[in-house]
Amino acid sequence: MFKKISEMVKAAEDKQQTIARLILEEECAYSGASEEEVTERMHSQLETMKKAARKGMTGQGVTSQTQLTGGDAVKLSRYHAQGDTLSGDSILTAMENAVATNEVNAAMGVICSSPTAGSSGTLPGVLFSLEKKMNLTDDEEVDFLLCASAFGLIIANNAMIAGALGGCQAEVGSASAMAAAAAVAAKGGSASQSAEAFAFAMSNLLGLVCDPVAGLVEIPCVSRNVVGSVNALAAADMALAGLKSKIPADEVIMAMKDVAKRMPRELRETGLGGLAGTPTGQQIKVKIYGTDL
Amino acid sequence: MQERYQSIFDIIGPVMVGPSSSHTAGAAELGRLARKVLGQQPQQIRIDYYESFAKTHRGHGTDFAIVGGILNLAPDDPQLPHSLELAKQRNIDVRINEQAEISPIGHPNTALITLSTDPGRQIMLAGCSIGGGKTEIRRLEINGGSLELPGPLPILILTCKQASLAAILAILGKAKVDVLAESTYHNEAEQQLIALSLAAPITEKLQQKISRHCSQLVSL
Repeated sequence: MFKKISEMVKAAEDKQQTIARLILEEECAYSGASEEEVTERMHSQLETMKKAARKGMTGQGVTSQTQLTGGDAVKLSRYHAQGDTLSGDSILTAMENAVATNEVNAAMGVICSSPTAGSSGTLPGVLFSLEKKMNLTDDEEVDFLLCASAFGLIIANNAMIAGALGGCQAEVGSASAMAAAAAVAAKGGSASQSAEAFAFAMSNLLGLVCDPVAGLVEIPCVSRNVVGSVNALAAADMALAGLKSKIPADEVIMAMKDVAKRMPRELRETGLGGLAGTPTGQQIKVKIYGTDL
Repeated sequence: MQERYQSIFDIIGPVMVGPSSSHTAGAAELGRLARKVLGQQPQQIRIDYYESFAKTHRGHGTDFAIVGGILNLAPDDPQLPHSLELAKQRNIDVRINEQAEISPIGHPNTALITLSTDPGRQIMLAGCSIGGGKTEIRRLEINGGSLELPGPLPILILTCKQASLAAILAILGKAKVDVLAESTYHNEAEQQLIALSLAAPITEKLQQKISRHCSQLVSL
């Protein structure tokens, strides 16, 4: 098991293998499962992601029980389809897939947590944007998820991936950094470029708070996943262009943990501060639960 | 120190009903583990929430998730959001309390789950959901005996004679499964309640081998 990103990058360089390949071997060693069994299971996670994104964009989309979120992925894809957008095809595809997935999550539909349910739209956003642009095969998409999971394990073990512990930087921030690293690999970039993209993506989202209105995984979670996906694509392009993060990826993870420790509990998934604490956020809470809280 | 997250499927996964991996899928997992410790469907369920769980359990579906887990529903079972009605149909009494104090086990996503049957079996599981659907059990009470759990899952809970422990450790040693930590509830009775924290999950076959040396075995 890799404890540091630097260690994992060095192993990939020494063995001339991809990070996806290295983590597949690690997983087999840990679980006792064969490579076929592990990749088959990852294919099934991928299938869940595809179904969720599709569900959120089909027909009228989905609506949550509270009716606070839903239908926005459909609006985005209609806007996208008419062709005249500011951010262009790749970004719009990422946005609509991210929103669709998180709307399904908010509506208590079936999703694949990656690394969490609140941040479950970020990876599919990036992945399905790359799928469309680069015609990725299912096997290549599984490699994307393997690479992302390798980076995610290092965050989870060195810092945290729970909003209650670290704020949204630990959820959407982590998902975005994982997606950025995997996007670089999908585009044929090196392991060290993946680490650079990871560092940029996570650095850019440090300090992001978890302030869910009424304690629900709806506002602002759905739109936060848009920023997770778009930030990942930008960070991947920065790394592919040869830009280097001055702070190494492993130290950025330590910085995320440091910020988490200094973050007040009102901003760590308690539904008290930030957007949850605004007059409108409070009104929504009272409206849903019917009591003056 | 054992890494808390071991498998890539802790990160890309679980496949689950929304909306929260920690407050829904992880909560369902805590319910499932509590049911496993009790070993049967309970007649009473009492859930005590602390910190983030106390503040946001309603919005995150934590109630139906824990109860669903106790009823052995999988985290991706579409029935999960309806588990409270299911419990009602089965005449299971469910009580939910929001506690204002800080978590007794030192984590913001804490639930104490007490399950009991008529007559007389009761277990209490103090667990936390650490993120991404991953859980830890920090304390267990089984019919009055209390165990502070030594570390992350997988953990074996044994009820056996102190003398049988050596044989069990030998079986694990032979199978090359490292025992990372051990904790025992000492009591007057001949049978001891013991928890073993393992480096990796063990097979069904190995569990059968071990169960010959103890009166009860729960693999968590």
